[in-house]
Parts: sequence; structure tokens; C-alpha cells
Amino acid sequence: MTDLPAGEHGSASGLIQTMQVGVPLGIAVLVAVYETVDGTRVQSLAGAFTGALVLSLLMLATALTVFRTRRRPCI
Amino acid sequence: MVTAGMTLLVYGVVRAAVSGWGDRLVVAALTAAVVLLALFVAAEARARQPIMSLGLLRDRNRAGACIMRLLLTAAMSGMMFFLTLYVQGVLGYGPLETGLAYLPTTLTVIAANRAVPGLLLRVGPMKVMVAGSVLAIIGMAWLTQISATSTYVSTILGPVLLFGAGHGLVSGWRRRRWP
Repeated sequence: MTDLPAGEHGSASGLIQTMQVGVPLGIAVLVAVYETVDGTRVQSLAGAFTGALVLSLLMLATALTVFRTRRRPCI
Repeated sequence: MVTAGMTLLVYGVVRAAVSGWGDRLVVAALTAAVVLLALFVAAEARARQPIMSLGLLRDRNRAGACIMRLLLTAAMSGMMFFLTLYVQGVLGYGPLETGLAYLPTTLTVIAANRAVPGLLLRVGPMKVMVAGSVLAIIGMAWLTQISATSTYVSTILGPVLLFGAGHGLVSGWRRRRWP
């Protein structure tokens, strides 16, 4: 984080903490998928993992969309 | 605002699974969540000393890395939650065995994370992020094949190793200290 403007390091820390909202959000989304799947418990678990697979696909889509340059990350 | 907004968002999503998306309480919770989170962003934009400076997100690579980190955290925490239910409820593992079952994941996260600084310099952020995402996708796709007759070695070890390596690559962007 050495190339951040003065005073921005605290904000960067807040930013990283903010991303931790993914924890409750991810569990909530997968619980929603789990509850929606009409089958045995193991089939519902597989359904929940499919939800996580979709999140991973969104990750790949973000990587392909955003990182077009060879610029260095700033954090 | 952000805590209340996130609480209502999570409550709305979880309740929607049981009561349906048209349920009045679900709609009210999700609407209130959107309003509160929008108010949080507006307050942060005006604050002299914000908790999270929105200016940090103007950099394209940094904003993209943050989105990926959010998605990664969501996928991984959800996966760990349900995988724990599986290994304890179906495979009959105890708490200690469950913890040990996840240990290989930690090792691949560390190994991949340590490789990131060198990879970033050699191939740039895009290829590192794409490789990490693809590893996570393969691992998660493998995990969707789980069944009541699966074993730890046949269906869990491989996916968690792959997802751990993907996690290490995607989250390694904030480990590098640039000169």
C-alpha cells in the first residue's frame, strides 16, 4: 500500500474489512440455494456448491473484464 | 448504517429461500437494505474522514481486485460452511478431523500466495487473477459432483486443494508491497 496518498492507508484497511461482508453474504446466498433445491440433503448440498460455482464464474468474468492492462496493483 | 443494511440484506436473502421473493417481509427487508447501503455510500462520499474512501475505487485494477476478493470470500465461506455439514453429517468426522481435513487447503493457499509477487512481475495481474479464478472454478465444479457415497479423497481433497490454490492467487494481490 506504499503508493497510496497520505492518510489513505486507514481507508484501505477499511476497504479490506468491507470486503469481508462477503462472509455473511456468501453463506446467505448458498443457504438460499440449499433451501430452494428440492431433493435429499446431499443433493441440496451439491446445489449449494453450484451456487459457489456461480460466484467463482463471476470472479473469472470480473478478471477478464477489469484486468486489461499490465498495470501494477496499487494495494 | 452499513451494519444494519448488511443485516437486513442477509436476512432478506435467507428468508426469501423459505418464504419466497414476494413475501412482504422479504421485500421490506431488501428495500430497507438497499436504502441503508445507499445512504452509507452517500455519507462516505461527503465525509471529511470517511471509514472507506470511495476514491480508492477509482483505480480500475484495485476496484476489480476488491470485487474479486468479495466474490472469493462469499464463495469460500459458503463452501466451508456446507462442506463442514457434509464431512460431519455424512462422513461422520469429528471437529478435530474436520479441521485436519481442511489443512491441505491452508497449505495450498500459502504456497500460491507466496508465488503471487513473482508472478505479478512476470505475467501481470490479469493472468494471475484469471488463473486463480479458473482453479477455483474447477475445484467448485468438482465439488458439485458430491454424493452420499463420496469419500474425502475422491471428492473433497482435490477440490479443496484446487480452490485453495485459486484463493491464494486471487487474494495475493494485497500481499505485494510495491516500491
